[in-house]
Amino acid sequence: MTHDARHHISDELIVSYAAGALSEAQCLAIASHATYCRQCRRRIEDAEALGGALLDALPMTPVPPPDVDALLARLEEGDAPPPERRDPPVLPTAFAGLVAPRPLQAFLANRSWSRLAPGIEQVVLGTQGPASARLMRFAPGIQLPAHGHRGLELTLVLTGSYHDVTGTYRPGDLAELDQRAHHQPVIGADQDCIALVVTEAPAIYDRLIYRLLQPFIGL
Amino acid sequence: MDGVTGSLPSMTAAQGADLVMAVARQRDKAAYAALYRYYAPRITSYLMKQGATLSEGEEITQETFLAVWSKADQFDPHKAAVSTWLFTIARNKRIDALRRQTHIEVDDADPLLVPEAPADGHDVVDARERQEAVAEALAALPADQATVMHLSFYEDKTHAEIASALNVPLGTIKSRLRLAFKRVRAEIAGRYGSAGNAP
Ligand SMILES: [Zn+2]
Ligand SMILES: [Zn+2]
Repeated sequence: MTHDARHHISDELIVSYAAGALSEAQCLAIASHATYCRQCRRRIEDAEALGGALLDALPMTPVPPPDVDALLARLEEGDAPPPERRDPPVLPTAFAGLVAPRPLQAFLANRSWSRLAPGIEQVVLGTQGPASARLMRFAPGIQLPAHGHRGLELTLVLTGSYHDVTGTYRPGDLAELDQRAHHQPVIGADQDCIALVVTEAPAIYDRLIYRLLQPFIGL
Repeated sequence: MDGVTGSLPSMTAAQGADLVMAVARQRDKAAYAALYRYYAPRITSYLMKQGATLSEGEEITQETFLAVWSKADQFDPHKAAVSTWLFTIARNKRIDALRRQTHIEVDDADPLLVPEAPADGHDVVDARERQEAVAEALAALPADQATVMHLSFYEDKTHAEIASALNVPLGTIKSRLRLAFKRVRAEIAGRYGSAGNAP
């Protein structure tokens, strides 16, 4: 990375992430942006410190007294949390050379690109819970259909760039658009743009033709 | 109540950090039990506010403490206060157990990770002082902002659900939350010069 991200996570989303209120797909977008962005990592730490301070202030629910030996016996019985995986995930050959944060790479096992429309390919990532996450690849210079949104749409650029009415997005930048937002992204002319796109609900396309195609493309 | 006898009435960040370090370095069971007595009842409260039953709450609290034992050596007192470290472990266990999802986090070993800015003496946030600043800011928040912050962390509700529970517009909830978070960050920044710089 040669430049700092310019489009960041909103305060609302930082607090929701720290509180543990976001879906897995949304967490993926937040953690991926934070990989590129030390300011947002700091903001997440501050919000988590709030969680800690609020925990200190909570009333106490009486719990059984600590039987340390019984508790630790569970660790020996194999009830231990599995050791954390520190090895980098192995990327399928379809993604050879892809530059992506590790949390995202972990969702690419056994997946591959599928063609959605001329110049547009996608990989649906298998995140749990509401909101869906996809990796999208757009050919240089193409214009996406104008659309509005039924829920939050998070877009994190990994390679290339795009621009719309809200600005220009480059690697590490996160676009956070809600129901009030309407846009028509245009992909940068010089190279493919690969982006993580997380949506709560399918978009609302301006043109009927895209609305008719929607059941087939699922976006 | 048996469960809370012998518990300290309060625990400073320094005391908590010493206990976790004793668990990490000496595998000190007495220190571990002291952490448990102080934090287990609070963590169980947190889990029950998030919709766990008492028995689910107790089970997830136990899982949280099993993780405390096995991850104690990963605790970095400069990075987070003990209360914050425990909160994040309990939060992640809750999401695992009650929502069957994962709280996805940055991988500190990621080669893509943009490194921290080099410490210049003003930029280093000491976890203990940050925790004090946060607690003070929290105590000084106007009631409406404090309520939204409490609900955000301690009820498993979206901001839209909080808005309808309080019968105020969603935009108001979001702006209270933003204001509260900015005040908290300003309090931290006030102590550390540039540390609280917002993007
Ligand atoms: Zn950022
Ligand atoms: Zn959109």
